[in-house]
Amino acid sequence: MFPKKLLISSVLTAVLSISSVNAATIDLGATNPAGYQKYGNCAHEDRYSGAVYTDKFINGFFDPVLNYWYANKKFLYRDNNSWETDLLHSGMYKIGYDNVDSVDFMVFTGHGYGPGGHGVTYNSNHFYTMNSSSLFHPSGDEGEREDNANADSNEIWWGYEGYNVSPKTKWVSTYSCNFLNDSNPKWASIMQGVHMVTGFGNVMYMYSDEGTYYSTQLRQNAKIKDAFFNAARAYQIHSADPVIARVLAADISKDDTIQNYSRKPAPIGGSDEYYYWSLTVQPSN
Amino acid sequence: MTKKHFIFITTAVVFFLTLYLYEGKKVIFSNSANSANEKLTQINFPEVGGGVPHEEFQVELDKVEMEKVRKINSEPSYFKHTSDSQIEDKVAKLKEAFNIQASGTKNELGTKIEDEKQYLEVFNNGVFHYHNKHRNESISIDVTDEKAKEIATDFLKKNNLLPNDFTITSVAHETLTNAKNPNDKKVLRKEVYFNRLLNGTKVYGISRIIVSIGDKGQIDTVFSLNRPIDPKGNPIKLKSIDNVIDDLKKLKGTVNIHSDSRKVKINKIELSYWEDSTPTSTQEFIQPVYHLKGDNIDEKGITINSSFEAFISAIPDEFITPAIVPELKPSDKKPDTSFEKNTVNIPKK
Repeated sequence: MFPKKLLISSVLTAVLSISSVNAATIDLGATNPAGYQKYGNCAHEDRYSGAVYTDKFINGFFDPVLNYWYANKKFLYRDNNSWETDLLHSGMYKIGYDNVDSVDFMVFTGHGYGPGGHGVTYNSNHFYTMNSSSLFHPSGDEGEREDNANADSNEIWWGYEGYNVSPKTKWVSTYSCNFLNDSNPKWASIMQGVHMVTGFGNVMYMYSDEGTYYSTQLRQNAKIKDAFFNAARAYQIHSADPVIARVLAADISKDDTIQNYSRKPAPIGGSDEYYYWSLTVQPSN
Repeated sequence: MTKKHFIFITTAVVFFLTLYLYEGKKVIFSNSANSANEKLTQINFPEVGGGVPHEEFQVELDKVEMEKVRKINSEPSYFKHTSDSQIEDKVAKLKEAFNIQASGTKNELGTKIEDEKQYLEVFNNGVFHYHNKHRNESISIDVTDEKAKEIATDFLKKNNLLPNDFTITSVAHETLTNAKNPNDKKVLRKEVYFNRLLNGTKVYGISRIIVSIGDKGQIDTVFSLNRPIDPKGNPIKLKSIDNVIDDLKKLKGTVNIHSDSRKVKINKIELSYWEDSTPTSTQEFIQPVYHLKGDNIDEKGITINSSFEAFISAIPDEFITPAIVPELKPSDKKPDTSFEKNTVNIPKK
């Protein structure tokens, strides 16, 4: 009996080791164009609450008392150093610095557009910079929809294996309006091997402490989807209209934690199923 | 002087002296912050994610509403949060309510009690969160909204977790949708919202209880985001409407305005309250705010199909302690100061 048990347990161990991974250390990256009007010419308000969010999010991984060791801040690009190319495929767009492809967990805090906003065609994470520390998009509709000021869902290929690049990216959290608005048919095409993307389907609110709570839960090994939704339940909505918090993920990755996660999923449209979870956070009416 | 004259003069003196003292008291009182003589911590108003006008915008206030605001009691109350019990007592009570036997561990946000099936977070400020880890992620819920309300209310009442001033306001859904086929959509959970009414006035900000009901009618989540208050409150002088408009123009508050708006036409103003009972909040007070609603008007004078809404503090700046703005981490630098992305041979999606 014992050898049979041993055989079963060995097979199970082997299967589990193929289908899920235990992490040692994860790399974090963040990009945060906060000074939309302070420095730029944008139609959006400054996002300094988002800047504090980013700091609190990153700090949440490095609790000084408990001394967690499994996260490493790879980069934090802010204001004039926060560019569209931080979110694009480094091989495809020939980007020669650490960006989304270089980290396990990427965070964007800023503004966003749904399809149609100022003539922007696809959902986008919006920058006031134009891939430059000194060149900013002009004011007006043309400036807002400037290609170099919008990392949009048609040009984002998160997790894509190709162009001699094998991205590390597993999870991306976007704290911006409309990036996961599902009204455009191409919105989900960002999933090219990334496990999970979290964000919002309409207008959201930036409350900097949300970053503390979200990251503390992640550090405690909560499921990423649950941690994101719990943070939204606790901090979103201060107005008359509901907020739609959304998680888009491969089915195999829906239970990912930062320490225990699935294998890399196939790009959307391939062999893995993709779903999105939507949580409506209600106003105080 | 006749006796009649004496009585008349004495009465007049007493009358005018009383009036003087009464008015004087009013003046003295209205010049102080409040009866408790304390400053209030500035509300941490969240920023809206949408655009804002690049140029200064005009504000037009409906005359009837303006009159209504002027008639608002000039000394409404603010309320101070109180501690309902020691955190240890609260943890013990909640462990019993949620049937968790494990012992708690402390972290920087509070205490977490976790077993294989569930966890409970009791934050340092007393608000709490329960989470069922064994929740359904694929089956449609077979519980009506009405039934969900009943389950949530019964649970809170049975465990003495529903304060008297909270009532059900709505039911929201958590859904699962197939990305390939959006028509393949399921409701996984129903979330029952309870909100606070303070002396009949709405409380905005984060002041709520959310109870999520799972597929079999079980409790999947409870977020109790509120704290008890001293109900007697403290009267406080209100900010003038002119100052409210100035603050609105400077976007000092939560302001939901369209970026093409050149004029905001306000057709509704209400005095409401703002509570911040987020898990990390250290705000000690529930404070009055002005809730403004109206229309956005573009440069051609056309009403934009997007409504205007704002929350502005109703308390004059001199009675507010400014929030501490944390110092930001510096940005990491890039190897170059600009970059031209490749646009050749990008595959089509």
